[in-house]
Amino acid sequence: MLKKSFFTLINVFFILIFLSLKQIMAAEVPLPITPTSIACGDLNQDGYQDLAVGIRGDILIYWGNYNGNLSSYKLVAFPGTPTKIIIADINGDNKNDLVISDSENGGIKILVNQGSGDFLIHEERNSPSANDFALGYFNDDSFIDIAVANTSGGVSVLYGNGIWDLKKSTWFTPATYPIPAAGAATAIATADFNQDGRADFAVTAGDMLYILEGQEDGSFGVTTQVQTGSSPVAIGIADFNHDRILDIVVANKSSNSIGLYYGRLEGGKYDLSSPVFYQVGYSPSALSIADFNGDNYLDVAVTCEGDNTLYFLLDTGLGNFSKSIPVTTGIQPVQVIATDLNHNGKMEIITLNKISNSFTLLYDQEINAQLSFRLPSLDIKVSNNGGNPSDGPITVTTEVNNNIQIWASLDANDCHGISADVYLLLNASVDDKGKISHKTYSITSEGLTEGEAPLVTNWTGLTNIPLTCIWTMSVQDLVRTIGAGYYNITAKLVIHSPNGLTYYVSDTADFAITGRVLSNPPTIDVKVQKVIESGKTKIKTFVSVNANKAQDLPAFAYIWIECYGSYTYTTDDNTTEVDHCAYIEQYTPEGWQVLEDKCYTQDEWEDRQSPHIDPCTEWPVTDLDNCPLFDLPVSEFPSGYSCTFNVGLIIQNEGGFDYSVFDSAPF
Amino acid sequence: MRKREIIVPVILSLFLTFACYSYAQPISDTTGKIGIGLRVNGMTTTSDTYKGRDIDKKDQAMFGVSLSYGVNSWLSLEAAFDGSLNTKLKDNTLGIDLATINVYPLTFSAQLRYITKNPEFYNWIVPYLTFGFGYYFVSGDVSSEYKAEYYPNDVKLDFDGGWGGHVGIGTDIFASKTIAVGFEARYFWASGSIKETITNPILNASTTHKENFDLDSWMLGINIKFFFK
Repeated sequence: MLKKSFFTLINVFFILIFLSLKQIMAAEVPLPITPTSIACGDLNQDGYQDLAVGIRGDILIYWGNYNGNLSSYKLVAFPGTPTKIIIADINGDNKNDLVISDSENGGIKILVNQGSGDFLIHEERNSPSANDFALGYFNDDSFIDIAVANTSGGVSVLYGNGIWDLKKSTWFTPATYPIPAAGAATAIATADFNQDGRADFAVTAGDMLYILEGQEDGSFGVTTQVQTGSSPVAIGIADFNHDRILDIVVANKSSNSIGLYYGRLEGGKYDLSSPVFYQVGYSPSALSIADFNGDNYLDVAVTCEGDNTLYFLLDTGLGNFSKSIPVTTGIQPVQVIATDLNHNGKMEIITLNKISNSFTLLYDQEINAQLSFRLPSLDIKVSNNGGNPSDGPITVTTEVNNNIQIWASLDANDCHGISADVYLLLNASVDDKGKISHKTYSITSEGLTEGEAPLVTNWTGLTNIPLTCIWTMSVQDLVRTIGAGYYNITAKLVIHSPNGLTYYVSDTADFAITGRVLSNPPTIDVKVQKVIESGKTKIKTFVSVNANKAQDLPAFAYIWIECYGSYTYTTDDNTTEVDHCAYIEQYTPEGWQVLEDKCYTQDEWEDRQSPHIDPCTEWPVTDLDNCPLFDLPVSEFPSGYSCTFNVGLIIQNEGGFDYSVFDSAPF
Repeated sequence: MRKREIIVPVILSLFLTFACYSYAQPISDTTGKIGIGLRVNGMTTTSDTYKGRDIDKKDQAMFGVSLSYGVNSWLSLEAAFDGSLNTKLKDNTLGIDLATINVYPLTFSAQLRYITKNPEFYNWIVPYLTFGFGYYFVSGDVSSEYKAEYYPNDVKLDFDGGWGGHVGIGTDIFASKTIAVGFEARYFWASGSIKETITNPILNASTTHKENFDLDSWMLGINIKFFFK
């Protein structure tokens, strides 16, 4: 009896494990025939995402349920070969329909949802043959329209008439808008790029990306064009760099890359930056945009049909992408869609695999497992004069003793032992004769170098490094080399992974330098002579000043003497103690003033605060050559002490900042 | 509305017939006689929809035979079987033929005949009203155009008939006691059904769609009847 219960328990345990595995494992769902297209949406109004897979002659409908599982398919006859499916409510009856492009017979066809799983077909007569299409509201009426990337070139817009009667052979009024490129338009996407309230198009054709902006009369015209990679086949739109302007990604099939174009909007004119290309696998075929790793940044999933892989380009939050390791799909993935099948707020990925006659379904748990590969975590900080390192921004003045320290820490995470190039880049926006000048300097083993150059090349063996000061420089030297202004220190690791992929990890800290630096500051030289006059020992002091570029600049002059001594004594309990004594006096307009004349115990000495020295006069800096200052009798100073005679100048700049120069001589 | 417009005058005519029937003259009195007839009709079809699309049936000829029996001078019963020539169902929305069908009505009718007793009128002309019911058999073949539309799937259309009724008006013109030529106009209403099965031969899976469609038509025809005692 006990054994039976035990085995029952074990069986239940394994069943539970199996069921849980079923939820998290990537599933490759076989299809009976070569698939040509895929889309998801709620087709039976139950609130759950269903799947429509196009094959030649039919659409296979998989009904989804609450758990994200899919039913076996229901066949819906389709006259042709569906190459793209979009699920949307075309006729406003609150039931999602299937809008389908037919590569076999050409044109757009619509499977009109009758509810209960029944669909009736509408074949839009005279609609153009589409490589790609998008839905939207492209004129001022409230009827849905279709924008088509025409196989014969240009963009055709099918404006909805609002009469969705199956007896009618046309539901749309077509219009065609040319683009400069000869040949077929290969992909199209729609959004309001210039934020004028009207839909615009992004279209690829002939290795170019075109922006067609919507005009007031409902027509469209090319306003922007940029070069793409070779054979662009898919377009995605999102604000990747969080500047509230839409950016565009393009999958380039023949150059195995994804091009990222940052949108720019000035005076209502939408423009695109030069692309940043991310190399992915062989023959990228499709892309889908969603937040795949739950960091609230939109990422890009890219299928590569040439090497049966799926790549994730993960938005770092800085507007650039970090490329994931590739995920294996079925053979020749030609389309990819993202959807939340299981209603947990996280995206699933479905790739359509043409040769293996299947679709690969990756649940969010599986995606997270694939994306759990952690790149190194780099932290860069900045401090002033040994203060607390921070991400900044901190403000540093050009005082002579001020220094900037750069700190870095590294957590190698999953990249221990991998080689990397290290860059320390200073991006500065400095004042250059009234204009802001942008400069980039690299910190290298030879010092500061203009441009981008590595600090270390091929640093083998990434490892954890605690927060360490990696570079210090005088603020004045920095200002002399680059200038005063705003600085951004960027540490960048270019990681060469063993599988041939390159990853980029970076972090930044900010600081600002204010004030000015004298290009040729004054110098002070103090000399002391001990002489005997009339039987008395005197100290004669002399000062030399070379004004250099500070000639006639107003300066506060400081003159003071510091003497320090110590003596050892034995206490009643036979312990040896050391007392420290300080004698400090400063010269004032009223003459010499003793600031401190006191002895301290060891503990008191450690807590002692130096007295504040006041300027004795305000003096326009000028050249002095061994100018005698004072004759001071030695007897005025405590015997046995070591003394220094100090002279300093603090120059008041126009901006209210200081430049200091001091010298001292012992006696 | 259309059926009501037809039924009202028919009932009115019936009333008049019952009110005015008279003694039959020998040449046109078919009391106790069995008649066989041959007839040809022109079938004027009505339009309908299939899968929401506009479907037209092409007008076509229908040939038939009839068997009648004169119950008395004013009532005759008739059984008839007709068959249409190939009638095309055209999908006007798609602009292609959907199928070719044949309609075979097997109908049972009562004829209320009016033979005047007034010798001033032609008593060899017998107008009548007819009404009845029947089963309308339908057969058909899917068109090659419709098959091509769904290629590589295999498309099969199964047609089924249905019960229907008819009313009409006609006249028999007797050449002798045994031969009469008649003209008749009748309207019948009946509903058939189409079951569409589209099979993907690779999947060996099918999708089906079944929908009723109207067979309603006008029939205008001429017939010749032979009567036997």
